[in-house]
Amino acid sequence: MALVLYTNVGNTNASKALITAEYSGVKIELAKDFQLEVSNYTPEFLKMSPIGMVPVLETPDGAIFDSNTIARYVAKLKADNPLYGSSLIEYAHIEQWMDFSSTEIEAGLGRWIYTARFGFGRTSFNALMCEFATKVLKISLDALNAHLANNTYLVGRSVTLADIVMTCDLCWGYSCIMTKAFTSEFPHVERYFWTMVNLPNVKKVIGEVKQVEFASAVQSQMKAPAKEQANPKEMKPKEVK
Amino acid sequence: MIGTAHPKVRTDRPRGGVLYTNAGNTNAPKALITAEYSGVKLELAKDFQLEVSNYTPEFLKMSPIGMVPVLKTPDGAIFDSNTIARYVAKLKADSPLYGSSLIEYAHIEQWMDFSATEIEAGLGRWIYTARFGFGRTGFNALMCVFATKVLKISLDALNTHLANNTYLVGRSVTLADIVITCDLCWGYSCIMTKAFTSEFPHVERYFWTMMNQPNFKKVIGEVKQVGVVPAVQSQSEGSSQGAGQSQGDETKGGKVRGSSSQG
Repeated sequence: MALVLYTNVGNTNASKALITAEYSGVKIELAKDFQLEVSNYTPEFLKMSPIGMVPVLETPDGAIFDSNTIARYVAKLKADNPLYGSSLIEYAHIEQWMDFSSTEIEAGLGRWIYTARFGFGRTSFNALMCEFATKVLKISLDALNAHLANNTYLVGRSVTLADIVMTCDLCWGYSCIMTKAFTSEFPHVERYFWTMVNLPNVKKVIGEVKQVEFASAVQSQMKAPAKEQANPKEMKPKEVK
Repeated sequence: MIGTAHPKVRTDRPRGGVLYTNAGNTNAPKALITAEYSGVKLELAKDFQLEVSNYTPEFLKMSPIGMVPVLKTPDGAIFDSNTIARYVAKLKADSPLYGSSLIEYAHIEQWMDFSATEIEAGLGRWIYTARFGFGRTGFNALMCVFATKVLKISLDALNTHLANNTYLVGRSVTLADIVITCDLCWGYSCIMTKAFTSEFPHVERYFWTMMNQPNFKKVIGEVKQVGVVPAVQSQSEGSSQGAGQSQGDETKGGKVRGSSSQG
């Protein structure tokens, strides 16, 4: 039985699994006719992924949600995969940067993108939240920049799972909301990102990356707060990319 | 002179390293409970002061945004509490904390990430707003509504899963249980009252059962569920200058998670 990945086209979280599969010599099929916001809320899908998180990998032994975990599973299908490093401390550092990417980069971008796309009901709140979000994100990007000043890859001397996850999370930001003016403050992140997306296995999956040119205008919404919120399930830009 | 040989002492547990953390940090127990299950010894760094010790140049070399806890091992330092727990678990070969098959491993990691991105992050939004606010009472109220709405969706899903499962994965405690219990513990002790958690009866049953497991109790001790929800700070509807300043101090390390700089 094949591995089947349920995802919408262009989902940068799905790319984590697909790039990992390229490096690992694993074959993944894409589920057909997957429609975001529809297919991921059917009862069958929710059995696999209880809050409708996308992507999901269906395996012979059960379904898995959470994009970083799907990438971990795919990597583990190949014994002694270099994507997991070659020692216990390398393994730990790979997991460390994967979690950093998730809780700092992806979550940081999510705060910003959610505010820009859906807003919190008032222009002034949106402005406040964007300022907060970008301030915190810059702290995280500064730290990443400093680490990459002395390192070509996040861990060790070749691509690992940490690079795949970080690159895909950065890619979301680069294509949606981080303009050149913003990212040029982090020159080592810039060098790292453009190098990574041009690696053959990454390019094969992601294709050409076009950096967003204009920051989305913060939506001006004069609706009453809390009542006309977007469907709560849409408040999950993490996996709904 | 009597020989200086020491009487043979039973070998201590393998040493995992030195854990830098403040007392009462609910992320540090992830590593400490894992160590209990794994037969690993962790030392606690002395004189660690939150917001001071984690911003020294030496500390930032180990943990670039001042995240706490950090484990200093013979081979290097590790930040991020879930990762430290993973490392400690891996010090014991074929640890049952990691399950007994590839799919179990995947499901353990899946629930660990769910805990981080849904439970901990969800609580963080709520606790941060209640403790520090965003500078405007109206926005704080809005943010609390948003935060609790999203958190309830996640707790609903967890509740449903636990309706049919004693543990998150398989038939015994795994890393996933250790992580999610510690994350829930943060919520239970800070902001989730009985009125709130009683909407999720299977989560209730699960949490209190886990907290009473010997290895958990040994590390965490008694947990007192918060009695009253902290009031959202009343803040001026004026300029956001004040908000900017307070956030500068609190998010210095990029940690928007309230009490301890949860990592």
